[in-house]
Amino acid sequence: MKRHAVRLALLALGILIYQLKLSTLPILDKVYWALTIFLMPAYELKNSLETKAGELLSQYILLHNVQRENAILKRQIAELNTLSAELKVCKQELKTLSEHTGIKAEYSQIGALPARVLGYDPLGYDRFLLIDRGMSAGVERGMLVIVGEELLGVVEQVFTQSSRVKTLYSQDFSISVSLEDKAYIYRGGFPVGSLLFVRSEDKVQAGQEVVLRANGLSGLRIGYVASVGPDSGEFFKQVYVKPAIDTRRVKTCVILRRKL
Amino acid sequence: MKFYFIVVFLSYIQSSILVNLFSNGLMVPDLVLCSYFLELLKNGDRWGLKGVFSGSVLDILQDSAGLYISRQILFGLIYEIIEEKLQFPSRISKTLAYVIIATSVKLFTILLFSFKHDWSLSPTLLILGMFLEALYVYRFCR
Repeated sequence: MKRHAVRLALLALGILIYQLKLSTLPILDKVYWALTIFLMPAYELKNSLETKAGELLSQYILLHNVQRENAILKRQIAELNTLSAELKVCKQELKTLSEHTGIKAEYSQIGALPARVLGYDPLGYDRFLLIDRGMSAGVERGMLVIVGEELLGVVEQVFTQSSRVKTLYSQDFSISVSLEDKAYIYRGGFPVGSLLFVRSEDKVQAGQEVVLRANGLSGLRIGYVASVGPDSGEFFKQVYVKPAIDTRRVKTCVILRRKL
Repeated sequence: MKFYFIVVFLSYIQSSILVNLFSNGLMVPDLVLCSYFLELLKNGDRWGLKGVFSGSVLDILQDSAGLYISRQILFGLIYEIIEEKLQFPSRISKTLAYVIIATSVKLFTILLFSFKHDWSLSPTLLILGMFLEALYVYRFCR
């Protein structure tokens, strides 16, 4: 019982010292100071150990994280290598397909839609074509229609399952074109179209290539200069263009999801 | 004498290395308490001086005058009371006794600390610490 009493007293004293912070009392200040000086090497050793252990732990955690990150990156690199190989194969396939279908690979960025020709102009003027893609396929009025690297026309009317394409032979067709770095307006016609507002001093010869003038689509062929009218002394001269495409022979075409 | 050296050594390990791993002095596996328990089992502590000594060393190293002393004394007191009524014949019973006493004493310490300071308790670390202590006691008790 006596032992318990001693322990209880010590316990109470311990709690009192801790709760009331008796160690900071002025009366014990000198004792505490002396004790601190006496124990200074022990404190220094403890602090040094604590710092070293903290550094080691941080380094370990850092290394562990680096290892994990390294493993993740290695896996990602392997995946990327696989993807890269797949991409190369796809590109090769795309090139082969492009060669076979006549659709330029770069048109895939714009969005290209293959279509079949359903019907031609019954009057024989080749002013329009009927194709088997319409509103249900996302076709819209004004979209360009091409065959290989040649322009066929522009979507004029859109129906649910089909569309009507206004060709280069239509007199209602007009578009901005380039001839030897100069811009003109092409107006359709049958059997030849014409270039508008060609100045008399402009050097235009038969056989020159006329191409479309549009951002991202330059190079699409319209046709060739068929003949140049005689110099009549007027400000503009007559230039006739034979469309490069023979509408009657077209069986399939490509609709570019790009409006003019 | 061996006990005092062990206590000093373990106190150093506990308050400099293990504190870094367990982020808080209260959640560190208390190897000094384990050693004290093993000493109580082996030689006893008639007047509680070993408890006071081990608590003092920890208090000095962790700058918490009174906290660990009172904990060690309470631990000794509870052990003495239990020992009068019960016996611990096997290692498992000793370990179990340690876990029960240590848990109550730790709660007391946490309570005492919480009266003075605001802090966040991590139950996972506390349980992990207790598990390591139990493992230590089981390994070294006879």
